[in-house]
Amino acid sequence: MDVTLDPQHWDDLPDDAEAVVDAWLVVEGAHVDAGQVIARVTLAKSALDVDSPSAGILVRIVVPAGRSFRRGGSIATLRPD
Amino acid sequence: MRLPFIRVVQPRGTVVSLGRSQRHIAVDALPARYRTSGGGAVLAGPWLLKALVVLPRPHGWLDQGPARAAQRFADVHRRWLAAQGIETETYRGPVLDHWACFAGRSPGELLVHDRKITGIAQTWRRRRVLLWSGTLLGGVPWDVLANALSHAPEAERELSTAAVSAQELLFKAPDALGWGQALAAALQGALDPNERATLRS
Repeated sequence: MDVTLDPQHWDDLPDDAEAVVDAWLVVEGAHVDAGQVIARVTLAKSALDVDSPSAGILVRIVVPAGRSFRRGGSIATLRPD
Repeated sequence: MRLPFIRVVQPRGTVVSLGRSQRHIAVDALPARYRTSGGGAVLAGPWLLKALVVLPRPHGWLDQGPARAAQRFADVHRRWLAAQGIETETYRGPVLDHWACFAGRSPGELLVHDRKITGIAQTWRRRRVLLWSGTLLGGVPWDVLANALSHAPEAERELSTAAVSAQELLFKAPDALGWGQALAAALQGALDPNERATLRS
């Protein structure tokens, strides 16, 4: 399962807008709860939380801290319980 | 804290406020604070009028994401500035990052002839959202900001061109207290007429 930033956060922004991952709050291999804040990102001067879409294991961080991503981009892979 | 919470502040001291991605930057000779929100560096001082609004989630201003929330927040500022005799345009282009907030651009921020007068930043958390604004009332000593962050002297000219203050536009110093009270009242009226806004300096 892909972890993405809430699509609503991209509303009204240009198609080429980019968000930056500020910090990961969990490490690869960690178990997370549904709705748990697992990363913090910045988009258009807004500091935003990324919630886990499901309980499970965070298998892989796709976008490390300091790197950017675009609308709909997967920033991590989650294996649901 | 009762929400919505509104506070308008005119800083007395001079402080460099750094955005979330600038935590690695060293600041010389001035105190520094680090924001939870994004954006570039701000030199806070008596030339700046800061507003903070804290909204609960969910809230009508927030239901269409940060860009629309910035727009709603900016609309209140645009009407407030118009009442003071300053007509502004809302920036709707792409995000333009810059090490200094007032030389960057983000949707919802207010410009006068392409020069920024009001910057906006946000912090979204699970239960609440913080909306921040900074409006330039008076001239900013841009050289102080450039020096504090070790930028070349020519940065002062770039910043002076990119930003504009109410004093520069009106050819007189604004009444900061009166302007602050008017902004607090405008935010209060837009959000919740029963909420008490505060003004501090």
